[in-house]
Amino acid sequence: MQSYPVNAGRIPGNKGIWAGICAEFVEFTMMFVIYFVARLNHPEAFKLGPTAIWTTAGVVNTVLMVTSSYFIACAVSAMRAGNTQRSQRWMIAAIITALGYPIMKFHEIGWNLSHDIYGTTGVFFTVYYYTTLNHLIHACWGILGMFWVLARMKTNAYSAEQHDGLVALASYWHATDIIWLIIFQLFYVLA
Amino acid sequence: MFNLSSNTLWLLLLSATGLTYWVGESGQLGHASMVPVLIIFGASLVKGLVVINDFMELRHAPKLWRNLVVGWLGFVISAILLSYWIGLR
Repeated sequence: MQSYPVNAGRIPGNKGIWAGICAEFVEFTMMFVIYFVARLNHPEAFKLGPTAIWTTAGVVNTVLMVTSSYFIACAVSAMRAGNTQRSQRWMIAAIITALGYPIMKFHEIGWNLSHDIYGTTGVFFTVYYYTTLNHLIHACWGILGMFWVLARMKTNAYSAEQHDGLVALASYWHATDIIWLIIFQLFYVLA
Repeated sequence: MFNLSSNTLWLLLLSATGLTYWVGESGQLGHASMVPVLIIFGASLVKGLVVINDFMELRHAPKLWRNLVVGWLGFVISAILLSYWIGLR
Protein backbone atom coordinates (compact mmCIF):
# COMPACT_ATOMS: atom_id res chain seq x y z
CA MET A 1 0.00 0.00 0.00
CA GLN A 2 1.09 3.55 -0.63
CA SER A 3 1.80 5.40 2.60
CA TYR A 4 0.44 8.83 3.45
CA PRO A 5 1.89 11.39 5.85
CA VAL A 6 1.00 10.88 9.50
CA ASN A 7 0.43 13.42 12.24
CA ALA A 8 4.09 13.90 13.02
CA GLY A 9 5.20 15.00 16.48
CA ARG A 10 2.25 13.60 18.44
CA ILE A 11 1.31 10.34 20.10
CA PRO A 12 -0.62 7.97 17.77
CA GLY A 13 -4.31 7.65 18.67
CA ASN A 14 -5.07 9.24 22.03
CA LYS A 15 -3.49 9.52 25.47
CA GLY A 16 -6.05 7.19 27.07
CA ILE A 17 -5.06 4.19 24.99
CA TRP A 18 -1.38 4.87 25.76
CA ALA A 19 -2.10 4.72 29.49
CA GLY A 20 -3.58 1.28 28.76
CA ILE A 21 -0.64 0.24 26.55
CA CYS A 22 1.88 1.29 29.24
CA ALA A 23 -0.09 -0.72 31.84
CA GLU A 24 -0.03 -3.70 29.46
CA PHE A 25 3.75 -3.42 29.01
CA VAL A 26 4.27 -3.20 32.79
CA GLU A 27 1.97 -6.18 33.37
CA PHE A 28 3.81 -8.42 30.91
CA THR A 29 7.20 -7.21 32.19
CA MET A 30 6.13 -8.65 35.56
CA MET A 31 5.24 -11.95 33.90
CA PHE A 32 8.60 -12.03 32.11
CA VAL A 33 10.33 -11.40 35.46
CA ILE A 34 8.42 -14.41 36.83
CA TYR A 35 9.69 -16.39 33.81
CA PHE A 36 13.32 -15.30 34.44
CA VAL A 37 13.20 -16.14 38.15
CA ALA A 38 11.54 -19.51 37.49
CA ARG A 39 14.03 -20.29 34.69
CA LEU A 40 17.04 -19.46 36.86
CA ASN A 41 15.72 -21.74 39.61
CA HIS A 42 14.55 -24.57 37.31
CA PRO A 43 16.82 -24.45 34.22
CA GLU A 44 16.13 -28.08 33.21
CA ALA A 45 12.34 -27.65 33.28
CA PHE A 46 12.63 -24.59 31.01
CA LYS A 47 15.07 -26.32 28.68
CA LEU A 48 12.73 -29.28 28.16
CA GLY A 49 9.42 -27.38 28.36
CA PRO A 50 9.31 -25.87 24.84
CA THR A 51 10.05 -29.31 23.30
CA ALA A 52 6.76 -30.59 24.80
CA ILE A 53 4.72 -27.61 23.59
CA TRP A 54 2.98 -27.68 20.18
CA THR A 55 5.36 -25.35 18.28
CA THR A 56 3.15 -25.19 15.18
CA ALA A 57 0.37 -23.58 17.26
CA GLY A 58 2.82 -20.86 18.32
CA VAL A 59 3.94 -20.29 14.72
CA VAL A 60 0.34 -20.10 13.46
CA ASN A 61 -0.54 -17.62 16.22
CA THR A 62 2.51 -15.51 15.31
CA VAL A 63 1.50 -15.45 11.63
CA LEU A 64 -2.08 -14.49 12.64
CA MET A 65 -0.83 -11.70 14.94
CA VAL A 66 1.62 -10.10 12.49
CA THR A 67 -0.87 -10.45 9.61
CA SER A 68 -3.76 -8.86 11.52
CA SER A 69 -1.35 -6.09 12.58
CA TYR A 70 -0.48 -5.56 8.93
CA PHE A 71 -4.18 -5.47 7.93
CA ILE A 72 -4.90 -2.85 10.61
CA ALA A 73 -1.93 -0.76 9.43
CA CYS A 74 -3.48 -0.96 5.93
CA ALA A 75 -6.89 0.10 7.35
CA VAL A 76 -5.25 3.19 8.91
CA SER A 77 -3.40 3.95 5.69
CA ALA A 78 -6.58 3.65 3.58
CA MET A 79 -8.53 5.87 6.01
CA ARG A 80 -5.78 8.47 5.87
CA ALA A 81 -6.01 8.40 2.07
CA GLY A 82 -9.76 9.15 2.38
CA ASN A 83 -10.87 5.70 1.20
CA THR A 84 -13.28 4.71 3.98
CA GLN A 85 -14.75 1.71 2.12
CA ARG A 86 -11.31 0.24 1.57
CA SER A 87 -10.42 0.93 5.19
CA GLN A 88 -13.53 -1.02 6.31
CA ARG A 89 -12.56 -3.98 4.16
CA TRP A 90 -9.08 -4.05 5.71
CA MET A 91 -10.67 -3.91 9.16
CA ILE A 92 -12.93 -6.87 8.34
CA ALA A 93 -9.84 -8.78 7.11
CA ALA A 94 -8.07 -7.89 10.37
CA ILE A 95 -11.02 -9.16 12.45
CA ILE A 96 -11.23 -12.47 10.54
CA THR A 97 -7.47 -13.01 10.94
CA ALA A 98 -7.46 -11.99 14.61
CA LEU A 99 -10.37 -14.36 15.36
CA GLY A 100 -8.08 -17.17 14.23
CA TYR A 101 -6.05 -16.57 17.40
CA PRO A 102 -8.69 -17.68 19.99
CA ILE A 103 -9.75 -20.52 17.65
CA MET A 104 -6.15 -21.74 17.40
CA LYS A 105 -5.71 -21.34 21.15
CA PHE A 106 -8.78 -23.53 21.71
CA HIS A 107 -7.21 -26.27 19.58
CA GLU A 108 -3.85 -25.79 21.29
CA ILE A 109 -5.36 -26.31 24.75
CA GLY A 110 -7.19 -29.40 23.45
CA TRP A 111 -3.88 -30.71 22.10
CA ASN A 112 -2.20 -29.96 25.45
CA LEU A 113 -4.84 -31.81 27.45
CA SER A 114 -4.61 -34.85 25.16
CA HIS A 115 -0.83 -34.83 25.80
CA ASP A 116 -1.27 -34.53 29.60
CA ILE A 117 -0.01 -30.92 29.71
CA TYR A 118 -1.85 -29.26 32.59
CA GLY A 119 -1.11 -26.17 34.68
CA THR A 120 0.14 -28.50 37.40
CA THR A 121 2.38 -30.61 35.14
CA GLY A 122 5.46 -28.59 36.08
CA VAL A 123 6.73 -25.07 36.76
CA PHE A 124 7.34 -24.35 33.05
CA PHE A 125 3.74 -25.25 32.17
CA THR A 126 2.34 -23.17 35.04
CA VAL A 127 4.20 -20.08 33.76
CA TYR A 128 3.24 -20.97 30.17
CA TYR A 129 -0.50 -21.19 30.92
CA TYR A 130 -0.44 -18.09 33.12
CA THR A 131 1.33 -15.90 30.54
CA THR A 132 -0.32 -17.19 27.35
CA LEU A 133 -3.87 -17.14 28.77
CA ASN A 134 -3.28 -13.58 29.99
CA HIS A 135 -2.17 -12.67 26.48
CA LEU A 136 -5.29 -14.34 25.05
CA ILE A 137 -7.45 -12.12 27.29
CA HIS A 138 -5.63 -9.00 26.01
CA ALA A 139 -6.10 -10.19 22.42
CA CYS A 140 -9.85 -10.72 23.04
CA TRP A 141 -10.11 -7.12 24.29
CA GLY A 142 -8.40 -6.03 21.08
CA ILE A 143 -10.84 -8.08 18.97
CA LEU A 144 -13.80 -6.47 20.80
CA GLY A 145 -12.17 -3.10 20.05
CA MET A 146 -11.97 -4.05 16.36
CA PHE A 147 -15.72 -4.77 16.28
CA TRP A 148 -16.33 -1.39 17.96
CA VAL A 149 -14.14 0.44 15.44
CA LEU A 150 -15.90 -1.39 12.56
CA ALA A 151 -19.30 -0.30 13.96
CA ARG A 152 -17.98 3.28 14.15
CA MET A 153 -16.76 2.99 10.56
CA LYS A 154 -20.26 1.89 9.49
CA THR A 155 -21.68 5.12 10.97
CA ASN A 156 -19.04 7.20 9.17
CA ALA A 157 -17.49 8.30 12.48
CA TYR A 158 -14.01 8.51 10.95
CA SER A 159 -12.62 10.60 8.12
CA ALA A 160 -9.23 11.19 6.51
CA GLU A 161 -8.73 14.14 8.88
CA GLN A 162 -10.07 12.60 12.11
CA HIS A 163 -9.68 8.89 12.87
CA ASP A 164 -7.96 8.87 16.27
CA GLY A 165 -10.20 6.02 17.51
CA LEU A 166 -9.00 3.77 14.69
CA VAL A 167 -5.34 4.68 15.32
CA ALA A 168 -5.81 4.10 19.08
CA LEU A 169 -7.10 0.58 18.42
CA ALA A 170 -4.27 -0.01 15.94
CA SER A 171 -1.69 1.07 18.56
CA TYR A 172 -3.19 -1.29 21.16
CA TRP A 173 -3.23 -4.22 18.72
CA HIS A 174 0.37 -3.57 17.62
CA ALA A 175 1.48 -3.44 21.29
CA THR A 176 -0.29 -6.79 21.87
CA ASP A 177 1.51 -8.14 18.78
CA ILE A 178 4.94 -7.01 20.07
CA ILE A 179 4.31 -8.76 23.40
CA TRP A 180 3.30 -11.94 21.56
CA LEU A 181 6.57 -11.88 19.58
CA ILE A 182 8.45 -12.24 22.90
CA ILE A 183 6.05 -14.86 24.33
CA PHE A 184 6.42 -16.97 21.18
CA GLN A 185 10.19 -17.20 21.61
CA LEU A 186 10.06 -17.84 25.34
CA PHE A 187 7.56 -20.70 25.38
CA TYR A 188 7.55 -22.26 21.92
CA VAL A 189 11.15 -21.94 20.71
CA LEU A 190 13.77 -21.29 23.40
CA ALA A 191 14.81 -24.74 24.62
CA MET B 1 15.09 1.91 10.46
CA PHE B 2 13.33 0.80 7.26
CA ASN B 3 11.72 2.82 4.54
CA LEU B 4 9.86 0.02 2.82
CA SER B 5 6.22 -0.48 1.87
CA SER B 6 3.99 -2.21 4.41
CA ASN B 7 3.67 -5.21 2.05
CA THR B 8 7.43 -5.70 2.12
CA LEU B 9 7.49 -5.27 5.90
CA TRP B 10 4.76 -7.89 6.29
CA LEU B 11 6.82 -10.36 4.20
CA LEU B 12 9.84 -9.49 6.35
CA LEU B 13 7.84 -10.29 9.51
CA LEU B 14 6.71 -13.64 8.07
CA SER B 15 10.27 -14.47 6.97
CA ALA B 16 11.65 -13.67 10.44
CA THR B 17 8.98 -15.96 11.94
CA GLY B 18 9.95 -18.72 9.48
CA LEU B 19 13.64 -18.28 10.38
CA THR B 20 12.80 -18.56 14.09
CA TYR B 21 10.75 -21.71 13.49
CA TRP B 22 13.58 -23.25 11.48
CA VAL B 23 16.22 -22.48 14.14
CA GLY B 24 13.89 -23.83 16.86
CA GLU B 25 13.17 -27.07 14.98
CA SER B 26 16.79 -27.61 13.84
CA GLY B 27 17.82 -28.73 17.33
CA GLN B 28 20.49 -26.03 17.55
CA LEU B 29 19.07 -24.60 20.77
CA GLY B 30 19.82 -25.98 24.21
CA HIS B 31 23.51 -26.53 23.56
CA ALA B 32 26.38 -24.51 25.01
CA SER B 33 26.19 -21.83 22.34
CA MET B 34 24.64 -18.40 22.30
CA VAL B 35 24.62 -18.14 18.48
CA PRO B 36 21.16 -19.66 17.75
CA VAL B 37 19.68 -17.72 20.67
CA LEU B 38 21.15 -14.48 19.33
CA ILE B 39 19.68 -15.29 15.89
CA ILE B 40 16.13 -15.88 17.16
CA PHE B 41 16.15 -12.82 19.43
CA GLY B 42 17.79 -10.77 16.66
CA ALA B 43 14.73 -11.78 14.61
CA SER B 44 12.49 -10.70 17.53
CA LEU B 45 14.22 -7.34 17.70
CA VAL B 46 13.83 -6.72 13.96
CA LYS B 47 10.15 -7.77 14.07
CA GLY B 48 9.51 -5.56 17.10
CA LEU B 49 11.23 -2.54 15.49
CA VAL B 50 9.17 -2.94 12.30
CA VAL B 51 5.93 -3.03 14.28
CA ILE B 52 6.96 -0.10 16.53
CA ASN B 53 8.36 2.21 13.84
CA ASP B 54 6.18 1.40 10.86
CA PHE B 55 2.89 -0.20 11.91
CA MET B 56 2.54 1.81 15.15
CA GLU B 57 4.06 4.81 13.35
CA LEU B 58 6.10 5.77 16.41
CA ARG B 59 8.84 6.84 14.02
CA HIS B 60 6.91 10.12 13.74
CA ALA B 61 5.90 10.37 17.43
CA PRO B 62 7.77 12.41 20.08
CA LYS B 63 11.23 10.89 20.57
CA LEU B 64 10.69 10.17 24.27
CA TRP B 65 7.60 8.11 23.49
CA ARG B 66 9.30 6.07 20.80
CA ASN B 67 12.36 5.54 23.01
CA LEU B 68 10.15 4.25 25.84
CA VAL B 69 8.66 1.51 23.66
CA VAL B 70 11.93 0.62 21.90
CA GLY B 71 13.62 0.70 25.34
CA TRP B 72 11.04 -1.75 26.72
CA LEU B 73 11.73 -4.16 23.85
CA GLY B 74 15.51 -3.80 24.30
CA PHE B 75 15.26 -4.30 28.07
CA VAL B 76 13.12 -7.45 27.82
CA ILE B 77 15.29 -9.05 25.12
CA SER B 78 18.51 -8.19 27.03
CA ALA B 79 17.09 -9.70 30.23
CA ILE B 80 16.14 -12.91 28.37
CA LEU B 81 19.62 -13.21 26.84
CA LEU B 82 21.24 -12.55 30.24
CA SER B 83 19.14 -15.19 32.02
CA TYR B 84 19.84 -17.70 29.22
CA TRP B 85 23.58 -16.96 29.39
CA ILE B 86 23.61 -17.38 33.17
CA GLY B 87 21.83 -20.73 32.68
CA LEU B 88 24.57 -21.89 30.28
CA ARG B 89 27.42 -21.19 32.70
